[in-house]
Amino acid sequence: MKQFLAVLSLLLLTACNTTVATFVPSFWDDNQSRSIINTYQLTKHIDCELPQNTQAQQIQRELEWFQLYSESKGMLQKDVLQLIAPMQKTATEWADRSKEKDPSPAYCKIKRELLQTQAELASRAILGRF
Amino acid sequence: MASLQDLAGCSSPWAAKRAKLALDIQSQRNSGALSPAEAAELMEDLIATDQLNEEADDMAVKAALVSAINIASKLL
Repeated sequence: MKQFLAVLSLLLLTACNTTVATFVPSFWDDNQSRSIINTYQLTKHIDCELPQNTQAQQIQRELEWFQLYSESKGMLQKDVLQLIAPMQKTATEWADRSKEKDPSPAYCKIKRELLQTQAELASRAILGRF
Repeated sequence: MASLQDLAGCSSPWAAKRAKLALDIQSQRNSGALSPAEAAELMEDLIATDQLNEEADDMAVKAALVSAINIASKLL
């Protein structure tokens, strides 16, 4: 009986842990707010006339900082990590593609617009928290 | 394509913006300014942006809910 209760408690705790991490929102954080605005600002200054790889890497690094900080902060940061994931994918693909040589100017301009839109959405959501 | 053109002129600003961007990617691909791989990647990014939009809305609702609960608890 004791073993059954121990297993049941463990299952309930695991379920609770998953539920808390999924449904409880993260709260206001000064460092996350600053980092996401830094990212937004970097996207605002993308210049398709300049070498693209350095610019892509700057955005990638800032998002990496955000990710590492949020992961280190604890389990209640899943919502913000999910929020920045599409931006990380967009920036990483850009960095990978521009490693050898710069992609076309048309590609850079559309990438810039997409990254700016994503950063704006993420900034509003992160700064709009309670 | 026809539905994208309809959406580009619709009253919802975010949907119109996304549809215009999709049409832009398509036309740049047709003109040869974008390679097939570049165009495919940008279309995927566009879809990911819409998913981010939903998550951002979800966070806004959760923030409003927490705020409302906090106000309600102070009134108890």
